[in-house]
Amino acid sequence: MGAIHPAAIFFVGAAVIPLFKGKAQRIFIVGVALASFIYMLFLEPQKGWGFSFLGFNVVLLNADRLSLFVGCIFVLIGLLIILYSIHVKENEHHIVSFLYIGSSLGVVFAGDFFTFFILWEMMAVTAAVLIWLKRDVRSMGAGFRYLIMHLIGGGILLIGILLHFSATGSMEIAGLTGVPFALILTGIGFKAAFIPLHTWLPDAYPKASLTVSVFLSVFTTKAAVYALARSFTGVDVVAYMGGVMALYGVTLALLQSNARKLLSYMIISSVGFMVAGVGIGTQLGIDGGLSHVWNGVMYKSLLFMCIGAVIYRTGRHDLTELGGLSRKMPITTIACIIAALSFSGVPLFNGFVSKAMVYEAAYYHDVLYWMLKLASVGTFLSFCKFTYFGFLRKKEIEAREAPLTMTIPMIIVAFLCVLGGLYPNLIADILPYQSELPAYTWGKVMSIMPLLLGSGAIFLLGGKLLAPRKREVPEFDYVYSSLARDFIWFCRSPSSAFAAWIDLAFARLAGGFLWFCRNPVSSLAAGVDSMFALVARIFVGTSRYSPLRALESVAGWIDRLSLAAEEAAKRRAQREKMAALAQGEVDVRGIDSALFLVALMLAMFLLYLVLKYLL
Amino acid sequence: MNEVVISYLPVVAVLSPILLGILVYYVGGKSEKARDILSIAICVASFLAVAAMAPAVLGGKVIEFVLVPGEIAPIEIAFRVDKLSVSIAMICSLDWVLATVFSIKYIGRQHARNRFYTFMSLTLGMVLGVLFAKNLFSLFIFFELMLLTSYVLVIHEETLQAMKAGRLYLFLGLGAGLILFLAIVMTYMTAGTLNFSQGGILEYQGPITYLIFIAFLIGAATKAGIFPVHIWLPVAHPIAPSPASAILSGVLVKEGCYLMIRVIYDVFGADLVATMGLHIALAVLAGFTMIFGSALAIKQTDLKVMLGYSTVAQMGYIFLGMSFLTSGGLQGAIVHIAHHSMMKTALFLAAGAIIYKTGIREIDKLAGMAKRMPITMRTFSIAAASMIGIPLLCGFISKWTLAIGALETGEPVFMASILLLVVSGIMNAIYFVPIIVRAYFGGGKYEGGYDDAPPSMLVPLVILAVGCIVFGIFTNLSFSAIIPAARALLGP
Repeated sequence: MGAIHPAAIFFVGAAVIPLFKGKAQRIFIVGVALASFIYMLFLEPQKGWGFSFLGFNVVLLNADRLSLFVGCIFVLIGLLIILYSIHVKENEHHIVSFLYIGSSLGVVFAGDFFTFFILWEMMAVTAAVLIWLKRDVRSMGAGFRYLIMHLIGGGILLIGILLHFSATGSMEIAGLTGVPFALILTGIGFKAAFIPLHTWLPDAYPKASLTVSVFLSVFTTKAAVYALARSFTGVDVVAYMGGVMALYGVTLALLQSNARKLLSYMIISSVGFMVAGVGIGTQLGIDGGLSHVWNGVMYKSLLFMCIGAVIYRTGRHDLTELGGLSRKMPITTIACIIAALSFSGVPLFNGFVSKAMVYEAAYYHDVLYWMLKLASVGTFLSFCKFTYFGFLRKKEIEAREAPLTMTIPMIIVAFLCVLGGLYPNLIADILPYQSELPAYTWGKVMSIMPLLLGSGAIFLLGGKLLAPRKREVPEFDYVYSSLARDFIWFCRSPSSAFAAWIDLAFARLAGGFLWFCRNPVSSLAAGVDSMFALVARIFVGTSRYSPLRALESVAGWIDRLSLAAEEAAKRRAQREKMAALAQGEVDVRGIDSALFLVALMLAMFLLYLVLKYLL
Repeated sequence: MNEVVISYLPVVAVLSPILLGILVYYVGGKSEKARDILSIAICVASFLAVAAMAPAVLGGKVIEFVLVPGEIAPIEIAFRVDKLSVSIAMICSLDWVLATVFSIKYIGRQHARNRFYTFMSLTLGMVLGVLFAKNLFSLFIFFELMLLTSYVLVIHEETLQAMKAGRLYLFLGLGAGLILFLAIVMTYMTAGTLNFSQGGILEYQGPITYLIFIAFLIGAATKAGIFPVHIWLPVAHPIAPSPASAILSGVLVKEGCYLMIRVIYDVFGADLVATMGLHIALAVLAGFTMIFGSALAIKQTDLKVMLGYSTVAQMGYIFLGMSFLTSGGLQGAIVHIAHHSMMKTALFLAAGAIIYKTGIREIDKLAGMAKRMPITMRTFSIAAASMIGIPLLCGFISKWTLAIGALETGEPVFMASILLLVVSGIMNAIYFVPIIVRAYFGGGKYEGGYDDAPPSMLVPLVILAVGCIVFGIFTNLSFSAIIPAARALLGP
């Protein structure tokens, strides 16, 4: 077995949480998170927890430098967010968030594709449950869409994994080529919020509860970035996708007025930087991407914590309604500004360091380099908008400082942001390739300054244009929801119409057979009858025979025939009427279809005899 | 060759429900309590008899017993228990015990209780008879009797709708039975024997062999609810009382699958089916059924009808698995028979518990049900999540095995069916997730507190839900029996 699996700590913790109540429970929750953090600091690179499952060798714990790095940041930020959300009373919230953190850790330490896939799906399910815990109609819908999107992504991933398995015969996370490569990349792309697959993110995050959106902002996308770093380094498509994400995210962020929706788009943009770094694939690029994961986790969760605190105190979500908070909620405001500066990549804050690494790595990819630079401008503008309209502008508002359980984690994270900016080498040691980039060279600082000053000037001049307005921004959502509607329509209408048609076809076939039995046969029988009668009469008594009577009997025969035909027509009309009335629910089946089967059997038997004796 | 053992155990398992089932009717006239105990005891006895055979059979022996010797060869009622029959029989008779325990409270409120228990017992006997049949003749006998006895379960409510559904069930079943009979006759005429034997008894003799296969397919597919002849299933399953729907959907449709596995591997032989190219047609039919059933389930508003359509889709999985003609596919089919049996029984019983307690059948009205009936909803959710294919639940294992089986074929036509598995899983999510979400997070008007079903209903539910989890994690439990079963069918 080896060392204890970090995810197991959270899973066991989740099982034990309901045993405690009140204060003891809170202490327990924080204690478990703290213990796992301390444990993670001392975890050595190793492989363990391997066993056989369904004939595969499953390795649950595969700790190398990469997974330890990401695991470490997950546990650290998990601890802080748990602290932030400790005021939530619901047991379910804590249990599910433990499961969510645990499955993210499981993804990070997965040693083979099977484990990876299982925990990947568990992440999707637990995240959806977290979203649903808001317990209102909007979050129900958003969580449902989130789950379906991720199940589709998981399905694509699964197909890719299976094809990879059938091609190579192993489940190792390595050596991807061809179709499995593309499928697995797409599957991971769903979680990494690749553009056009990102719609779940700005859809679900603003609709989840305050604490939940902090959780979500950290784990899902970063786990996907980790997966990319593990098996898709140095892929140009990924690198440019990162650039597209960075640009697309900021562009849409600038258009938003809902504070958390704006931040959701900023997440996409920031994940774009990480993806770009990983996609470039040089040692510096990977390290840059991963240190951006570290830093991004810090400032993004901090932003969500701040806006969470604001919503907690004011109950307002929209930038149009916010403002005037610098006096009322000073700690929150300062934390938010620190986060915004870090996010924008201002020197002395941690975002600057990792962005500098990504820029450096992207230096030889011209288009990508400028995409990222442009995204940076957009980032700074978005945060000018966010902090100015959300916090700094003058406005009367009812609010007071957030409770201590919220402000303490905020202060810690803000402190870490500044620390990471001042001493960039602190995390360089645990990066996979230990790249140390002297970030604070004259050239680097100077190259970022024009961007920042320029975008600051744009904001000063054109701030009015950026003023938040409530509007619907057209998005890929629209395409998906119309597709989904079409799909549901397809399930509801044509396929049930088809099912009804099948039923009807059975009824028709059986009915036709019955008609055949009842009418021509009975009329034929009647005809034979009268023939017999005729013959009998001829033989029995010629005296009683007269042509007239013969004619009469023929006429009777014709009468019967026409009567039968009439009846049949009537029945048929009735059946058609019923079918039309029922609209999909056909009641005319039943005995008819059974008779149809009997007829089929007879037909087959005849066919059998024919085949047997004639061929 | 396997060592053959003569033992009375299959006779005990099959005949004790049939003979004692008749006794149930008379006991019921005297005392309700005694009848309940007796009917549970019968199921348990059958289960124990099956379980007693398991070690020997899984150890590599084959148990045989001739009940009615046939001087003129094919008219012989004989039992033969091999790995496949015993592994399916275990799960079927276990389901039966649970459904019977569940029905004590459920049926306790309804009319014609003695009749219900009597026919439950009789049907159990018939089901085991089908599973233990040595030759096609005895299989056919039990197959038809199973139809007749289960007909009484379908029409139990005796409403107009129930009678109508029952008529459809009965006549379609009889018609299909006649076609099956025809197939058996033709098999005897061409092969000269009706005994199952590994590798098949038929040889290719021109178009007639196709005809035999099609006739068998109609007979089995009608029972299993495969696409064009599924029409009775979504009508008859929901109309029966919930414990009966549970065993109809959980156990009886599997008899059709079992028959088809026997036909493919023991009557035709995998090689013959492959050379005739019939497995591709079967796979297309099964794949279509999967998508078709799921698409129709999305549309439904009545919970039990939805579950009925979901059964149609899941039968597609099983037929797909057996059409691969590979070890993995066959394992997938067998393991899905077992897993689906557990999941669907749990779902129907949970729906039954909800109907028993609240009378609600419509999906829209389930909001807030988790507050009122937490344990029932929890078991429902576990079973539903398993149907969707959430990892570490048993439904995922069967899908995974099926997918591996599809890959083993190495043919693009079958590899494409992985896509169908995924799409169908997502469609399952589309119709199951809203129910769960509504029940847990939908708020709802219900203000009262805990008001769950009585323990005699909850215990079977919890056992099944735990089974869904256990078989999803400890896969050795099921695969240690299923891999040898598949190997025995495929031959060396």
